[in-house]
Amino acid sequence: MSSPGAAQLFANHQGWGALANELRVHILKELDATDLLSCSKVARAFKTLVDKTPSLRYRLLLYAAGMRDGPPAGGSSVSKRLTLLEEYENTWKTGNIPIRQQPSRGHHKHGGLIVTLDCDESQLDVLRPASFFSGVPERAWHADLSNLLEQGGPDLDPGFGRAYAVDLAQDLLVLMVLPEVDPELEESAFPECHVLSLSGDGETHPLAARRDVYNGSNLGFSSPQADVEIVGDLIGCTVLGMDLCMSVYNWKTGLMIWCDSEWDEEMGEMEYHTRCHILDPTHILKVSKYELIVHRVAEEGKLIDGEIVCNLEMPALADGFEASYCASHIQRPPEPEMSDCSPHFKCDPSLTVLVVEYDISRKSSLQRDNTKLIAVIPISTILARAHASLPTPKISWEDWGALGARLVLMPSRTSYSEHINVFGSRVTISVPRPSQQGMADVVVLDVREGVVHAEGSRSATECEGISILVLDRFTKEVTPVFKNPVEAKMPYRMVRIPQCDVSKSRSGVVSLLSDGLCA
Amino acid sequence: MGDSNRLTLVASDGGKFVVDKEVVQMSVLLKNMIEDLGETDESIPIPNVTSPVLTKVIEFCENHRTDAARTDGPNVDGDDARMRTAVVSDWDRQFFDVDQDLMFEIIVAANYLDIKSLVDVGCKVVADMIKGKSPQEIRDLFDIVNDFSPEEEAALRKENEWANDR
Repeated sequence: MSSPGAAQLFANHQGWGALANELRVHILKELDATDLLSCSKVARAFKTLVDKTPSLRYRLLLYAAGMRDGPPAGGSSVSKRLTLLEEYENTWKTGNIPIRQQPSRGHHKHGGLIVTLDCDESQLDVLRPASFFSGVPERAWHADLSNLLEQGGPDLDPGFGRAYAVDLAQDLLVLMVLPEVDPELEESAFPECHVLSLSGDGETHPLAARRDVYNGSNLGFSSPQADVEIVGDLIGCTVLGMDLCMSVYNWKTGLMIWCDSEWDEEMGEMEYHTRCHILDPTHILKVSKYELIVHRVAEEGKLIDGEIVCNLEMPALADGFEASYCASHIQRPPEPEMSDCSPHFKCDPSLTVLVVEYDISRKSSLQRDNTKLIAVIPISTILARAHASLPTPKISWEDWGALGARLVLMPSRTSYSEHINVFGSRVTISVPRPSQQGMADVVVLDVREGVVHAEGSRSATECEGISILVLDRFTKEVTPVFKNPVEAKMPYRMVRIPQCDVSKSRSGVVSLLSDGLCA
Repeated sequence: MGDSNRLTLVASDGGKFVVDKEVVQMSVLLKNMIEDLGETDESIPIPNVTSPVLTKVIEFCENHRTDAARTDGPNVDGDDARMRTAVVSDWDRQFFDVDQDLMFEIIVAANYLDIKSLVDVGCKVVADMIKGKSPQEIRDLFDIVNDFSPEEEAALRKENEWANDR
C-alpha cells in the first residue's frame, strides 16, 4: 500500500522493520527490565540493540543486580554507572565478593553500619564503611550521650543489654537500653528506648513526640535482649525479659499502634518463640513458632489488637521432629535517598527479605543438634498474601512457599554457632572455625527475582567443613526432616567464602555492605 | 491561496493538504524550512510521506496544537523513569488504533518531520503492545523471524534460567 517514494525510505521493510535503530531504542526505553529481557530474546538484532545501548543494558543489569539507579544529581554518566555495576555483578559471577576489613571493633553491625558504644566516654559511634562500586564514601557519626544521662536517661553500664536501629534517611537512631537487676534486691527494671537525632549529638530527634518511646514490661532477670527496627514512622520492638513483649510505636506521635506478648507458660523455661517485624505501615508480622502471622493495624491512631490477615505455615515436619524458633531478621536498605551522598546505584528496598532461623530436633532426643533451618522469604511475598482476599487465613506451605521462599538447611550438625547477617535481599551465614581462631566459613546468598540462578543448587554443597543444603526440591531420602517433599523455587545466587579472616570482627560476624562485605 | 497563515503540503503520492502554519510548525523540519523560505505561496513537498500517513500526522498536530509548547522538556537520561511513567491519553490511544503498518509509518514520518510529541506517543503505544509479552508473542506481534541459532538459544536460556519464562 506504500507508494514508491515511501518504499525508498522504508527500505522495503514494513512494520517494525521500517524503524531506524534510534526509534527502536526510543521504544525499548519505555520498557521495564522484565520486558527488556523478553525483547532481548526475540532475535539477534534485539539482543544487540539492548546490549549495545548503555541505558538499556544498565536498566537490565540494575534488575539483575537487585539495585535501583541512584539520583541523577550524582552526575555520573550512564556509561560510568554501567561499568561499575558490571564490576559489582562480576564479583558474584566470579565468587570474589570484596571484603572490607573493619576499622574498629564494632559491637553491632547492620544495614551496612557499625555501631559502637563507648560506655566510659558515653559516646556512641556510627560508622558507615565506604562502598566498593556504588560511590558511597566512608562516614562516621558521633553522638555524645552524656546529655541524655543528665536528663535522666539510661545508665550506660557496659553489662547492660542494648539494641540499636539506625535510619540514615531520617537522621534517626533508636537506642534501647536493657538494665539488668540484681535478683536479690527484687527491683523492677524497664527497658528504655530513646529516639535520637544521629547528627544532633545525642539529642532527642526533633520530630519525636517523646524522648523515650517505650512503656513495656518488667525485665527482671539476667541478660534481657531486644530487637528493634524502624520503618518510616514506626518503631517495632521485641523485648525479652520476664516475658516477651512485642510492640510497635509511631515515634512521631508517640502512640503505640500494636502490641502482643508471650508468657513463659512452663514457668522457668524462659523459652520464647515469637518476634514482631514491621512489613509496611499497616501490616505487622508476628513470627510465632513455626508460622508467620500477619496482622493489619489501623492507619492512624489507636491501639488495637490487629486483625489477623493471613497465617503462612512453614513446611510440615516429619513425625518425631519439632521446630523451635531461634531468631529472625529484616534489614531494609536505606530509602528513598541517602541523606548525605549520591550513590551511583543502591539496593532496592522492595526486594528485602525476612530470614527466620529454626532449630529442628527430634522430640525424643535431648540434644538440639540435628538441623538448622533457615527460611528466606521476600517481604513482598508475604504482603502479596496479606493483600489477597483469602477464604481462610491459614495457608499451607504448598500453597505459598514454593514460589515465594527459599529454604536453607544446615543438616547433621553437632555444634555450629553460626551468625546470620541480612541486608535487603542478601543473607550471610558465617560459621566460625573451631580450630582456627579468627577464621570463619562464609556463605552469601541473594534471594529474589532477577538473579542468575546458582549452579549446582540441587544438591548439598560443602563449604570447607560446613554443609549447606539449599532446597529446590528434595525427598525424604536426602533428609528426613520434612513430612512431604519440599519445594522452594525462589531464584537465588550463592557465593562461598571458605576461611574468611574475621579476626578484626568481634564474635566473628561477617556483615553485608551495600555492595560487598565487612569482616 | 493568498492566506499567509496557511500553506499547502504535498504528499509523496501528490495528495495536497492545506494546513494552518501554526500546526505545521510543530514539525521542527517544516518550521525551519518555512523560516528559510520566507513568505511564499509555494506548496511544500513531503516526498517521504504518503497521503494516508500525512492525513494522520496533520490530525495529530491539529489536536495537539495548543500543547505544543510544553512538550519541549529536557530529555536527559536521568529523566527516564519520569518519562516512562507518563501515560498515553485516551485521544492518543484512539489515534493510534490503526493497522500496524500505518502505525509504524506514522512514527517514521513523525521522526522524519521531527515532531517530538508524536514520536514520544507513538513509541509509548508500541511499548505498551510489547509489555507483558513473551519473546514468541513479540515475534508474532511484529512478524519477526527468530534468527538465533540453537546454541545461542541454549546459552540465552542458561543465562536467564532464573527469570520466569513467559
